[in-house]
Amino acid sequence: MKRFLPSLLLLFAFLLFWELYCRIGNISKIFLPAPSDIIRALFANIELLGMHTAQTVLEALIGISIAIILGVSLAIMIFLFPRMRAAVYPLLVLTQTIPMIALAPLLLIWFGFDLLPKVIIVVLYCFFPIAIAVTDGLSSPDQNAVDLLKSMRATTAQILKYVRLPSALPMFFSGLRISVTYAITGAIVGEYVGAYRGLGVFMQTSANSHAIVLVFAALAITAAITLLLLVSVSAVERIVVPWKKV
Amino acid sequence: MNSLTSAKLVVKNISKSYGTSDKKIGVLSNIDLEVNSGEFVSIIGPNASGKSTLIKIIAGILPADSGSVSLSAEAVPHGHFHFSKSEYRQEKSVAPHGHFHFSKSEYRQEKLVAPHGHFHFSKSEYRQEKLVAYMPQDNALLPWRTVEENLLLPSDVREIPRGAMREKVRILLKEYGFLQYASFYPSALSGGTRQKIALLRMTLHEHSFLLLDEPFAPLDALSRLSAQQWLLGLVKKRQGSALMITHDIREAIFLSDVIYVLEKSGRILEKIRVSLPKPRTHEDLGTPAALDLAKKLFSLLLPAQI
Repeated sequence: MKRFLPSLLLLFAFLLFWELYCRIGNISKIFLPAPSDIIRALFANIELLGMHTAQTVLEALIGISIAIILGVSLAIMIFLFPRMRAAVYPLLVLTQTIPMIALAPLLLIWFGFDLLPKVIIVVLYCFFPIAIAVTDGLSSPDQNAVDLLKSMRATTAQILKYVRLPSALPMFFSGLRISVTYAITGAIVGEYVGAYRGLGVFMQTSANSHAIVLVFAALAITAAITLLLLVSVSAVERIVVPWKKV
Repeated sequence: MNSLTSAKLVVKNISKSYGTSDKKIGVLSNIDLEVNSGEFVSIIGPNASGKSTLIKIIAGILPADSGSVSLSAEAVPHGHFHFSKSEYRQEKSVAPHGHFHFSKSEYRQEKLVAPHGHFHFSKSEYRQEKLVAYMPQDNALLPWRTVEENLLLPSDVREIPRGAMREKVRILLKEYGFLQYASFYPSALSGGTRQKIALLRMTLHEHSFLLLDEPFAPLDALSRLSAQQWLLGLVKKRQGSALMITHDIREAIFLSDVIYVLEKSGRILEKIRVSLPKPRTHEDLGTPAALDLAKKLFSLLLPAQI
């Protein structure tokens, strides 16, 4: 908690400045609502926001789970078949050059308004950092440990199991931390283009009806969920990687 | 306590170079050396003289361009063996040569069972596996494994069930006063303790030949002295042989029966027998004989360094 204190103080100072600016400057709530207005609006619409949030979180969690499976599997394949690296790596980078906001309408046309296109967007957002982190983690273990296993006549699979995978775990979690920050954004981008439910739809309809305070309420929830996901990843890392202080 | 069957190592005409065919850099050139049963032999040389490459070739980690490494245990018989089951169980240090029915993993699990039928190891594989234990430059204790799990690593690689091995590990840790660290991660241990745990890992499977690549390099001067003394005790107690890489003249004199001096071009410059009486203490390093030897080694290494 102590290490987050400076950030919390800075956040508090920013919110205080914002509140005072809105109140003293007599700024219209339609243009820029004060933080206190946002909190009031959030609690007043808690049920509606809860329903949309649940949908966005579901899309994000499914997407990140698939991204983990695909990212780790691809990284292992690249490690086991080094020639694959030359073929796949540039394509991996290429996926990141595609603007998701342009891809989202196409996915909508192909897969409809349901869960699938949003999940695909989340996967595309989250897959890359995980795959790259694990690929780098697998190919840069402690060479002394690899030599030790070789001296024991360990097979490639055993070296992967006993040395490379455990040593790649901290890098996997670094990649995962980046991915979870993209996950909610990815889901919202997908919902923005077309959906029945989700924070993206909520923000869009709120903005269209000039309910700026509700857009801010949804943004606050987005930030809170992303933060919660980050904290969860760190908590899991502490359990899975107990030898490393997080 | 487990005692080990000492091994003899013969390295003949080993050469190694790195790089492409256009640009080859020679690292080792026609290396001949031997380590007799029960001997502690050091290889001393300047940086980049190929010491670590040599020990990795002997450990089977790197291939040599030419030459051969052969290891033999005194008790390794050739041809068919004639033990009864009970005799074989009593005489587990005997390396069998003949026909066995075991798979590799089965054999690894149950060294004591008298084998019958076809045996799938080649003779050299068997000897290498049974005889050699290697310790890399930094102890290579896996940071994600506790002390106990680190000691279990060789048996995990050999697919030996953990049950019996865990008991063996605990007995070994207790014997050397480290049982309280069994559930600790290596990062929680001092540098000296980490090195000693790594050395214990080498002895668990009754390897009789220890290959040590600068085992005490990460330690401060005081910890190094105590660890050296400890290693001598361990090797003596286990009746093993050792080949150690070092660039510390005093360490080489204190521990070794024989010192090979390697020059920068990767050739053996000289083989020196250390005639100091055993058992040794660090005070012995102040005797005229030890000082003369140190001076000789220094004079050999100084031009080698340039």
